[in-house]
Amino acid sequence: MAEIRIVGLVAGYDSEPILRSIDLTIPSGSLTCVLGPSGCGKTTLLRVIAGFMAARSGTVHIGEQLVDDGRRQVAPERRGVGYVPQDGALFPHLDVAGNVGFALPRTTRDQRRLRAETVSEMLELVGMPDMGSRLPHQLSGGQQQRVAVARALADRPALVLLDEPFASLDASLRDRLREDIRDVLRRAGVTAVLVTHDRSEALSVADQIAVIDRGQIHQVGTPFDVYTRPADEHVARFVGDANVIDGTLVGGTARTPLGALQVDAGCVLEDGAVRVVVRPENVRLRTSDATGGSDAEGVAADVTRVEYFGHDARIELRVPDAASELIVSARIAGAIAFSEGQRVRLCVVEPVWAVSN
Amino acid sequence: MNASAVAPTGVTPRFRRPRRTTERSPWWLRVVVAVVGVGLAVPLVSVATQAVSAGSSTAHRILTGPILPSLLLHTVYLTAIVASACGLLGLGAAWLVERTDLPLRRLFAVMLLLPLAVPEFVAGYSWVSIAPSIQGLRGASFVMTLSLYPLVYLPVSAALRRTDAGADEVARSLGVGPFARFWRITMPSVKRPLFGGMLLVGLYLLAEYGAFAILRYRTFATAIYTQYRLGFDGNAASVLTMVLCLIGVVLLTAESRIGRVGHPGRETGRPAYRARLGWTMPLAVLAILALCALAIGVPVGSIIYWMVRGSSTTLPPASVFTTAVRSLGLGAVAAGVATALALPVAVLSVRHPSKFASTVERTAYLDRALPGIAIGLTFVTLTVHHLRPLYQSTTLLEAAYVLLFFPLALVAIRSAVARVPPVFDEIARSLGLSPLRVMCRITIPLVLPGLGAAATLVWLSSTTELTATLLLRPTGLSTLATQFWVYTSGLAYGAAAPYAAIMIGMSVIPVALLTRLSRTASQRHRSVAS
Repeated sequence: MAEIRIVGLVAGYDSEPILRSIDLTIPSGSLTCVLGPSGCGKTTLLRVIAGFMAARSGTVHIGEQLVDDGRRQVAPERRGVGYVPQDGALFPHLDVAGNVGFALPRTTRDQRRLRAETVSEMLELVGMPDMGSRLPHQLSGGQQQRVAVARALADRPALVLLDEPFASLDASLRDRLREDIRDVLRRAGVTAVLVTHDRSEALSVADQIAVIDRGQIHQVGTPFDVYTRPADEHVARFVGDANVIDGTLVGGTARTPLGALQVDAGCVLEDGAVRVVVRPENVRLRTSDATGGSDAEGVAADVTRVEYFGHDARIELRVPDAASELIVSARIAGAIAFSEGQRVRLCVVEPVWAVSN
Repeated sequence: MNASAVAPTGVTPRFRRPRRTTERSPWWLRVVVAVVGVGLAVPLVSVATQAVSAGSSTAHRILTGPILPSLLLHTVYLTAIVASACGLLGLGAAWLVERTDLPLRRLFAVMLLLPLAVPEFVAGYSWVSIAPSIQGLRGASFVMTLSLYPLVYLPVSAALRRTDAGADEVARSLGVGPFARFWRITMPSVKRPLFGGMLLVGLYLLAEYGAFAILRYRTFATAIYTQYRLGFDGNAASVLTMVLCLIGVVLLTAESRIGRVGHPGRETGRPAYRARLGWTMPLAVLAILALCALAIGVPVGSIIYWMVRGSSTTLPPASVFTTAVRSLGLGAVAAGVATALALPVAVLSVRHPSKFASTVERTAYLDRALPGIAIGLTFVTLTVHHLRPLYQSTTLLEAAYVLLFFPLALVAIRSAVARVPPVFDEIARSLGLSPLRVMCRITIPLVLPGLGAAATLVWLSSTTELTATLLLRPTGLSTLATQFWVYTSGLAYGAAAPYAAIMIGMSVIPVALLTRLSRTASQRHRSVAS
């Protein structure tokens, strides 16, 4: 187990760095997801930690060891870091046991015995006992990933790095596998960094999420934090669908075209123009002729589009009374009681969140 | 000819997206590659220095004298005729086999490549021995065209196989007719391999000595050999060699500029349509059959004829066998050395691309401009003047083989290394292996088939090498090629026949290997695309 401390990290090309001044601390034993769109530098970050790429400046510590200070780098083989790439990349010329035991010494008889024990223990851990003699091409994609994780863990590394490990798998397989892998990493007690562009993956498995874009970290926090209390509009939009509406903050309440909305107490913005974040699932709709509730509650809105997904539906609405064109999307569960062109009442579940303008 | 040297255009390695790694290459790898690079530069430097030290008076005499213009004219005539004939035959045959409903396509695809297995000097012998009137410009053009057209056929058919239905379908839907589609869709996709192959034909013509000696057509190679052997005019030979190598460099540069396969377009994964031959089908079959009969039937038939007729010379039956074993032994050493030296160069240039790595690689490819006659002559001059103990030693002969066929090994190994994703190295490193152990436990096991292919190509190419062997062999040592040469020079065609048969039989192996390499390369390409 090891804490990772990254301070002022710059990496990439001289003229155009991929990473610009990254500060990130990854607590010992945690699973941290680095979440960002493709090309944002998240894989570069992983490769610098692993030692496959050098930093231009800044420092990287793994535990107490300074592994990169922008001038000298500790070789990847001396870092004690396990690495799981996107497609597993099992060595094709070795069987499963050969892959898992790749890093373990095998000179003496005792070492060979220990190696065999570790291999079967690791295969047990990832749920693939007795498959040591299979060859990589005989395994399914999910099984290959399990073996890749076992290989990375076999030599008891302090740190495991996973580069989009589930991206190339079928959706049905992915959910199950990522739960399993998270449990394996927990039980192995290693610090893990997982890079992904899939927000639901990051939200569901991470202890901590670092949202990164264009080589800069926008926010680091728990999944709940980054979803409900995004640091800026970019994070708000990237970690989930969001309606981001102009508003004016006055004493804990935001005045918006959707009415005066109470803002979460954790928000520390000063009064003035802000952007208000409303998640679609926090938008409630009522047919305006329904009985009960006064017409004063909420604002009038016209349904412009209905997208049905089965488990829920997304409704797009236009707010006619707003000063400028305002489109709001709502996510509602259950049967759709709305159709295009219908006039409804729209209200928002409070408190909402605000980010700076 | 060494069948295998078509590899540069026949099999283009598919490169993964280059990934910038700031990690430095291990120092020992750079040291090994630097030593190999110096070795590769030796013949290039010696050719140049020997030409310079020949003196300005010799240079002036050669460059202004009557020899050079006549040699240049001979070379230009021959190259123009043979290259365009090869272009026509190669393109036509490739189109018939890959893009029409020609019957027996698979059989023809193999038969059309077989001339690669016949060394040119054997092809020359097979024609001259049954029809002595075949000689001069006409005879040489005829024989060399039949012998070299596969250099065009192979890359063009590979390109035709790769292009798929997509563009053709769209052109059809836009109302473009079959002839217009050929010019506007098919031709652009084979232009590079076509011209690349034709330039390669030019390089082979420059390098060939044996065939032109038999066919009595004077080229640079035969003139240099004559100057050296009969005139004992080493200086004149050096100057001519320099000119020859410069022409080679020009052709090579042009080939590397246009010979590379460009970016393939988006693909649908469906093979292209085959045109219906209809009533012209029998004509097409006849044409292909005639080409095969002339290009492979005559050489093989002629050898069989001479073997059946028996030899006029008394020939101890064991000697073919022992010569073959000796040749194979010489070739095996060269193959081992060339493969072992090419691996570090390939690894460095693929994994740690740098100016240094590409300089060494370019030196290796530049060596392809040095034909056997140039390497042989340079080594003779070098050892006679500076390294007397090496003169006419087996070591020197092996060194010449390694230099001649190193580019071949490098191309084969380089593409094998490039196919191994760098992520394997990275994982092995993060699992605690040093770069040297990564090389032993990951890289070498994964490129083993490539190493095997490279070694086989070098092995069999050096086994049938003639020109450099004639110049460098220790007194009394004979190989298949030289023994064959001794008999043909003495017009003992019957005695030469078994040697020719063995050389052809052995060369079939690298040809088969090459065909498979280019097939799997295009299949892999297709499966990746879909």
